[in-house]
Amino acid sequence: MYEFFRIMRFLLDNAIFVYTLVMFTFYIVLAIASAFEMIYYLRKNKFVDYDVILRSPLAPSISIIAPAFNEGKTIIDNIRSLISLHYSHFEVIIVNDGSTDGSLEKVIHEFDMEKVDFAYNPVIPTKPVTGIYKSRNKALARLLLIDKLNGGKADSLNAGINVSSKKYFAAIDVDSLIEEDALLKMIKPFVETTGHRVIATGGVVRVANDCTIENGKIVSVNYPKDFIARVQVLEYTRSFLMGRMAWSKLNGLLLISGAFGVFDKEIVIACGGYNRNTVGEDMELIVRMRIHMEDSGQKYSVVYIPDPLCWTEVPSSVKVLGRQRNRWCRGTIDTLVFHKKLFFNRKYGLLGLLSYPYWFFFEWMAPLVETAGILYFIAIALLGDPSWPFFFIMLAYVYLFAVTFSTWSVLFEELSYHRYKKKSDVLKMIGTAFLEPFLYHPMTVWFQLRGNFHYFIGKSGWGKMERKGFSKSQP
Amino acid sequence: MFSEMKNIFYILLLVSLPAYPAKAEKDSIVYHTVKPDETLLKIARKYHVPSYQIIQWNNMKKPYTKLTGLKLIVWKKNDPANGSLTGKTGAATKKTDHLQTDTVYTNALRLVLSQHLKYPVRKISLREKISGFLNSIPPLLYILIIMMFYFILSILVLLVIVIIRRFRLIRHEHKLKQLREKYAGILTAYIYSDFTIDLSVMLKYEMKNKQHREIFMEQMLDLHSNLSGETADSLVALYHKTDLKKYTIQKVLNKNWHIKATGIRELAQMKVVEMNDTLFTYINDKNVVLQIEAELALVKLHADYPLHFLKGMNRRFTDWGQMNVYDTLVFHNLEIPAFKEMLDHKNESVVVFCLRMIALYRQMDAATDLLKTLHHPGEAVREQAINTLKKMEIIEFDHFFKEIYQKETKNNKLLLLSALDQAYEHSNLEFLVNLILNDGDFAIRLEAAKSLFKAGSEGELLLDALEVKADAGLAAVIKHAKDKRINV
Repeated sequence: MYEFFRIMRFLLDNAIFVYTLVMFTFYIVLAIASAFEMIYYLRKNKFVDYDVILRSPLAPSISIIAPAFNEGKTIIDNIRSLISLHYSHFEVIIVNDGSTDGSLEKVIHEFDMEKVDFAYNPVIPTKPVTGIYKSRNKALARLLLIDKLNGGKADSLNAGINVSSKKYFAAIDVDSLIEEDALLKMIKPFVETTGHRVIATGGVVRVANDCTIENGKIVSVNYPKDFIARVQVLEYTRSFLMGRMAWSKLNGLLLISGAFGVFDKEIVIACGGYNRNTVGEDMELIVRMRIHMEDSGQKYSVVYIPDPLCWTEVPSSVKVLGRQRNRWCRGTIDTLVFHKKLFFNRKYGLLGLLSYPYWFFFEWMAPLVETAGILYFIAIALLGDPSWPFFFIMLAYVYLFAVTFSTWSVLFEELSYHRYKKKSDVLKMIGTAFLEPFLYHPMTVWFQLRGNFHYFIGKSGWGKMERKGFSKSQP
Repeated sequence: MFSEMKNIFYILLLVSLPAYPAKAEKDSIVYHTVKPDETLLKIARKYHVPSYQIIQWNNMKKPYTKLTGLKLIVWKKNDPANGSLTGKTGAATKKTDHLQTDTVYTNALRLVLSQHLKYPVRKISLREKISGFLNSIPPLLYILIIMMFYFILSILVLLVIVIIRRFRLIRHEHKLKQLREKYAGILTAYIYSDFTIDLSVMLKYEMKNKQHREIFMEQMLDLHSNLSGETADSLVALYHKTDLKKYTIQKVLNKNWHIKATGIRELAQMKVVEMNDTLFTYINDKNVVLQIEAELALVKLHADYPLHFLKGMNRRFTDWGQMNVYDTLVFHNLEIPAFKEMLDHKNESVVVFCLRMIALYRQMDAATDLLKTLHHPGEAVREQAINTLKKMEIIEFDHFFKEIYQKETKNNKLLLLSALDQAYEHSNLEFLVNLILNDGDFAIRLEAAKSLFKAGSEGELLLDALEVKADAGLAAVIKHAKDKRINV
């Protein structure tokens, strides 16, 4: 009995230690659950003929909405690859968010477009639309171009939603490379459920750096050359394959990558569309949609597809990475603050009791707790007398956990999709895992600290960052 | 995003036991009166003295409770009992076993660890520090060390697995390829020989091996799907002559869903009809793959009445299921019933399916029944009925368009308007004009304008007249309706 109470007090005294333990346990549990879900999905896929959807007159129709700001260099290729996706009933809506590099004129010229008398109905309020264009070429009938005043990515997506005439829409980053069968795979969850309604599906985002791309298709997958890009391959693999699958199974997924997600348009409009006042609009929308469905009492789910469907260039320079992580951090905080009523709120079930607290403690607070711990240790080391042997054991433990976890994720990828065919690439991935905790991780912690700092000192810097255009969405 | 390295900080657990010297260094004896809720352990920690010392000094006996009010010695300076390396604690106390091992143990550790300390401390504080440390940490430390070994081991094991797997995969593939070619050859020879070759001996022998059996089935199914008519039937006959059917049925009854599903596919292709009842139960299984496979199997097995399975469906007939069934009906060119017979099915999703099929197969004789479905209580059913009427261009519905319109939901209203392809009746034209001018909803106004535009020359004239008098908003709507380039 005495021992029990002593240990309890001891644990409370050491909240940070408990924090770590809980976090590690979570990671391991999520990884195991993800493994099972992955096996289920891969087995299920063997029985599916996606071409049935492709040739079926009963297939649902989708609007692809791609906001574009100053993408002049690549926009023509990107549009071409979008309109040639394998699907039968879809339209491609390009939203030009007041580009200043002449990309509007380029597109109009390239696809022989003319302004049509489309009456714009802002069901969701947006910045004014100056024109809607269609191609004179009948073969490009599925292409639609919206020209509007600059308002940011969320605003552009909302404009696309206003114009869309289909039941579902796919929000994508215009410079992401979408695989041919992506729409077929992403729409299937919506049509195969018997009891509940699927409100959104998300796909995996893969790293396209240094891959060979021809005509908008990935020809061969290579491991990136830059160290920073390499680490991000690991990050994405861990996060997508070992985290999101589990959340999807639990129906607790809070984030669908803005780089590629398909949504039920009716629900999105009922929720009011994307929120223009945040840089994390993708996560914020999903949370709001969930709240809406919970409030209405209908059974629903947000589903995750682990197949590699979307490829994107990740930052390979420290500066760009820093801006990206700073923005993601602020976006996360935005969402957590807007929806703070969810925190341990039983009324919202899993959303309030598990998903939100997890995000709060282990995604937002993690860098803060880590930094606090390091500072505390430094203080003790200077003032008191820490026991160095113990310290080194702990350090080794933590490092090994990180490396092991990354190695597991490499194995996941090996056994499931096996996209990195070269043996040397796999070994390089493991090598990167050994270096990551020293060379990469401190950087991301620093960027997230700055993100917190920027958030709390005020949003004046936020507007300026937005003007620079949309950088990559948080996967 | 994950960032699992946030754990360096918990090392502070070990610095949570600061080493400040015990209060009573200057005095030679210190007493403490026990307060009501104090335990021996608490007192010991407070004075940074090991509990066994207090026990010794005060000649305490087990159990060490009910101390309230007692005046205990908690510190004795230069007591030979304090930190003696030899472990002799004097004759005054009666030693018990646990005290003896405690002393030896802690003394030994003290000796070892004192070498690590930077500044000289009193032996008491060191001992109590270590014992306090050990009392609460050891399980944890051992667990951590064990886990670390596990991590290192798992990394090595993983690497080995990955490398071995790559090699095995290549060899395995080669072997499978040989088997495939072998069986494909045998089957083709069988066919070319006009089914005269006697395969029964080979089959009996080789099919005992599971892998061979699987490859053989795979080749047979593959070949069968590429053939038709008499040749295909003879393969099925071969299948039935052998034991393979038994194995298929085993699969269907296996507890793993993915094996069941494989079995069901074999059943369907090889026309095994004995398992119909089982298939009917699988239709309502919660596993989505089994649902679809069972549905499709029943469709294929009852070529004369393929929609037989709908009778047993207790759940929603999903769109994915409908797509697959329709695809199978078309691909195998199966006989389709008059769908209007099933429009009164109590399962709404089945009614929706029938409505869709009526449109796709253009069963014009279903018109009257269709119009009746416009009054169905289910919104989704009515929605589909309107869609079907639109696709089949049934003009009669023009007559009671208004009547249905009033009672409908907004989405269905929009659908009705878009279905009003040829608003022949003049009253309908007036109705549309009214909507354009007065309805509060933008989408309705637009849809009505489009309908008016499609209604022939009279409609166009009316629309032009409206445009002349329209304000900016309405003019934009009318222009949109008239623009043929927008095929929305």
